[in-house]
Amino acid sequence: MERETIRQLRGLNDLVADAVDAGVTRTERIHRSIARYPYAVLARIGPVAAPVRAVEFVETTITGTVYGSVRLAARVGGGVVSQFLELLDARAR
Amino acid sequence: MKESATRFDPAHSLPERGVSILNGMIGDYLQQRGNELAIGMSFRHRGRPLALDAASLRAAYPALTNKLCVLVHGFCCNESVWTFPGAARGREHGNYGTRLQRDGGYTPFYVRYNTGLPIAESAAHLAALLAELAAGYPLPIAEITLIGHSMGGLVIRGACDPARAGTLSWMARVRRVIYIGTPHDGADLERFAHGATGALKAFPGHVTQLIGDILNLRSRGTKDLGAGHAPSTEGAAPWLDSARHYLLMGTLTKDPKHPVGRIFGDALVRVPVAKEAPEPEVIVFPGVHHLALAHDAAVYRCIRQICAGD
Repeated sequence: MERETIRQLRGLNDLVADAVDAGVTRTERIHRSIARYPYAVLARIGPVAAPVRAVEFVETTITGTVYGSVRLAARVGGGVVSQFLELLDARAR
Repeated sequence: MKESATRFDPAHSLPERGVSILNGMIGDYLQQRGNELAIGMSFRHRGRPLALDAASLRAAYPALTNKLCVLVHGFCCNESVWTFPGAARGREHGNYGTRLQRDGGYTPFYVRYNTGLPIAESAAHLAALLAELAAGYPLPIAEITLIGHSMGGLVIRGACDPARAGTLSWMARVRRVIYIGTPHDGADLERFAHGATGALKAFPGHVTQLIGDILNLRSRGTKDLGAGHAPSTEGAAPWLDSARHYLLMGTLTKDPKHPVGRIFGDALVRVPVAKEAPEPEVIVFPGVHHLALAHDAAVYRCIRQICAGD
């Protein structure tokens, strides 16, 4: 493989990592701001306010973990591809 | 005076074109992040960067001449945009540069650059690159013809800002500048995108905000197209008065006075109202759309006539 191609693949890998990170973060922000509405309404009803807050906490923890895992998986995947491309580059030199 | 264009030029490959499109869309971001997809401005010879020392120039161009033509592509393109249809598959004299070499004894140089960068930045890079070429050129340069397609014309206009003339000796050699489909008065599509972004972001909804944000990701180079000139501190750079300027424009319709042709121009740029010198002489090619202007037989005949005529 030509070094120019490897360089481009490295750039593409970095760009995909940036895009996944930014996309997931943006999606998470929108998800949270939309999900907040029903909890805010239900939390105003006295008898159910406490369980609603507990459910909201569990839900945000789970979704936060899921979004975090996607970000982590993308970073690990990007790192593996990056190492592989470094190896190819070293061979091409 | 023949230069074969028969070897496959990597500039035509899908990945290379893809990288050029990506640079046009988000090139400023790529550069800011140090991403290796960001294109650095350089002259290209058969798709590869060209070193500008005398030995490399002689090796790349065995028949160097003292007349240079420099071709600067437009937004989201690379130098493959100049290639006539079919020429990439092996015909000789496949673009304006190689044809000028054959017919007029010019030595053609093709610029490739990151079209997502601000136009003023690309203009400064081009001015420096031309200075490097002039310094390394093994022959005394008699004349330089600059040819820019679309955004490339704005970059050339910025590079030829007379304010730089004192420090750049190559500028005195510029005999003529040919702008092809160049939006000196601004590009309507970018103005529309600017308006749409503002309207979407004015709405409080998450979806409209998101679409507005995505639209707003477009590069500084794209946004500069709306202004219609290489933005310097005083606005558009003045025309280089030691050179003659020509503006070659297309229209979608065969009749340039047809309302569709007048409103939409060549699909992206409208034909401006003709003005007196030093404004460019406007020449219209009816029925030739924006991209086709970069590789059209009638446009080439006109360029050849311009180069032979003064």
